[in-house]
Amino acid sequence: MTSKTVLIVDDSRLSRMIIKAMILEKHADWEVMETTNAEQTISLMNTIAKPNLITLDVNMPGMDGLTLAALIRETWASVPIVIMTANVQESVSRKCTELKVGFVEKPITADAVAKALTYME
Amino acid sequence: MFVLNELQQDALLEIFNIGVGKAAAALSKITSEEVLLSVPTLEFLEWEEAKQHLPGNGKVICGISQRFDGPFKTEAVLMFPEEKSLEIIRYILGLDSLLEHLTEMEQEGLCEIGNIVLNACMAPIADIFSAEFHATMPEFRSGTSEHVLSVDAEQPNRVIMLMLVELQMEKHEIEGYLAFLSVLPDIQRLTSNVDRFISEFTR
Repeated sequence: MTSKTVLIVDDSRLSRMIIKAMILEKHADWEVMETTNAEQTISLMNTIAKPNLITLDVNMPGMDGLTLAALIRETWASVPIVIMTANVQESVSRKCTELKVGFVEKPITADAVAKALTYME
Repeated sequence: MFVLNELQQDALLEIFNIGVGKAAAALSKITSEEVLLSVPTLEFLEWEEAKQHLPGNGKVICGISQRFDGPFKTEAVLMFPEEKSLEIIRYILGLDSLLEHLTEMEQEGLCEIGNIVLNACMAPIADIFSAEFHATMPEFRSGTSEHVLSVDAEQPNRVIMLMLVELQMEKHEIEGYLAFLSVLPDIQRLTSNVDRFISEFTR
């Protein structure tokens, strides 16, 4: 598989560390970028090419992950996005379907990360 | 003063965040309404100081409390303003009552809701620590948040961990809280487990 780029958006440093480590363990040549909130993500988007996958937490300080997903779509209409959250309410999974983004349940495990990567283009 | 390093604090919040997400899902299912969550806040304070940080502005609230003992001890409390507790339980039970206070049956109903929501919260936390929590029966309390969340009167100067998450249910304009209280040395047991959890990913 050719080298890919993944952007992880999560306010939890540990969650970012775990997702990144699990991706790089299987795909050492991939580039994994990290942001901690919507503001940082929007700034970063102005400076990078479209990644192959964006993982988003939902419950973050400031803008939540679902609102950010809709905003990202305005710039990168086709970028694969996957929501990684423990918030398993029907309303959240429904919004994911409406936004055409993937949904993976936390806690973050090797299986959860593997599932997230299946949404990649 | 008890202090966690940045990674311990982050891990602890994330672990509780996972539990709170499941609790919100359980509450959403019971009430057929979306439950919006705030980002949890975590503080280590003496009780006298913690009282200043409690929600409710001195108004009467209803709380359902359960003590959990496992990888650490904590008291988990689901709280709503009294009038909103009436609204929630009467909506769920399909009751139509003009009484201004909860009847015994309504209190039992709220306890059952608390039991479902609080256990939905603590179960994934137990899984993360590969352990098991034993829970007391849910207990109904009514009063100010200081009363509903009061720690053991013999331990007023001990440091407590206070974690608060705001729950919002827009359709019924209800704001509630999930609170978790732990007292030293239980906090140290908790952080030992958090350290073990972190070490699994930072080896």
